[in-house]
Amino acid sequence: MRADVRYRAAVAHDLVRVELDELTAVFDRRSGQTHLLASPLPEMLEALGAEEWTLTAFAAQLASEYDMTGEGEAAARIDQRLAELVALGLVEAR
Amino acid sequence: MRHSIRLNVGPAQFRIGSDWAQPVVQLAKLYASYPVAEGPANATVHLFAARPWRRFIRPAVHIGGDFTIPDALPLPLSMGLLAAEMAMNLQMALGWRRHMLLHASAVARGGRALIMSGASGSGKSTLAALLGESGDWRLMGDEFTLLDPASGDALAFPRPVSLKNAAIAEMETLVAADRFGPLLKDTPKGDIRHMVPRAEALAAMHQPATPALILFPRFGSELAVTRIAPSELFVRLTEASTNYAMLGEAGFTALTRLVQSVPALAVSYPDSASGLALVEQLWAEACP
Repeated sequence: MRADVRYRAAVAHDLVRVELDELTAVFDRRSGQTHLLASPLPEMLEALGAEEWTLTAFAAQLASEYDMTGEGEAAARIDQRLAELVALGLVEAR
Repeated sequence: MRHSIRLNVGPAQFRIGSDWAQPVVQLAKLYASYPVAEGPANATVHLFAARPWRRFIRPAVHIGGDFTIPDALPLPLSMGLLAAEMAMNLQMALGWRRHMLLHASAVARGGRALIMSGASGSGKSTLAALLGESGDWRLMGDEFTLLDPASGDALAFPRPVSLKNAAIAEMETLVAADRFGPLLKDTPKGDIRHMVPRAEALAAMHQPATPALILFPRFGSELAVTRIAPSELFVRLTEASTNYAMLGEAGFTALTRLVQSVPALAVSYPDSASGLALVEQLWAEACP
């Protein structure tokens, strides 16, 4: 985890999301790829919105939305999940 | 190509060319009751000799067309009909873009479709063939079902049913001899005999049907029915589709809509009779 990394989700127009029971199907118009996401990845994409976030700011935002602590182990988990979204190409890290 | 024939199966207009007369003659006989192909061909198949002299000396049939698999198995000329059917499947699986192709059999009743998917040997083909001979079911296809991305409708692709091994004798007791092709013994898939669908199914092959129930049959085990959640159905059908990725967003939209609107069940059954009874029961529950 690097404090200066900025995360930004793909713009909403590029992703088509369809909720199927416990999984959300996401079609990425840029790559033509389909992803099946399990919670909390769809919620995180939603929370990222159109803004650019540092891990600390995003963890604090999720903490306020979901009534949890945004520090320590929780922040490390959020970092891992963000890395997964980055690997799928749904979130950009720079 | 020295010999050629045009065939119409559902929305596909095949042009099949061959170095030899025999496969074309056999195809003409097998497809004699199909509607006449009109308009330009939209799928092309070639049956060609690997070397010019091979046409006469130990002839072996290579398959090709708009798309080719370089290592496609050459078959002896006595299996030219099988090679032609395999080549037609290959062209559909790799080349068709107008519809989503599902590796699934389908039958229709009252404008609604029952789609059956599963691996080779699951019984989907035999169940569809048996249903197609019983009552008011219409056989839509034993191998591929086409989905129209725009309407969500299932479209028929009623090639002659490719019966294998034990299913051959089972259907021979039910169906008139003039609807069968030649028995192809000891092919790479065992014994194969093609069976032409009922005349009603061929006459109605351009009529779409609304998907109403999706089954994943498994032949040869205890009766069991398990519901499949939409997300699992989505994964199974992307795996069963030969061209999902090629269709892009249209495929995604069609498939997500299908899995959200149509119930799906995994069913296992010990024999054909109990399989048919189970299908009728599940259909009655899905389409009251």
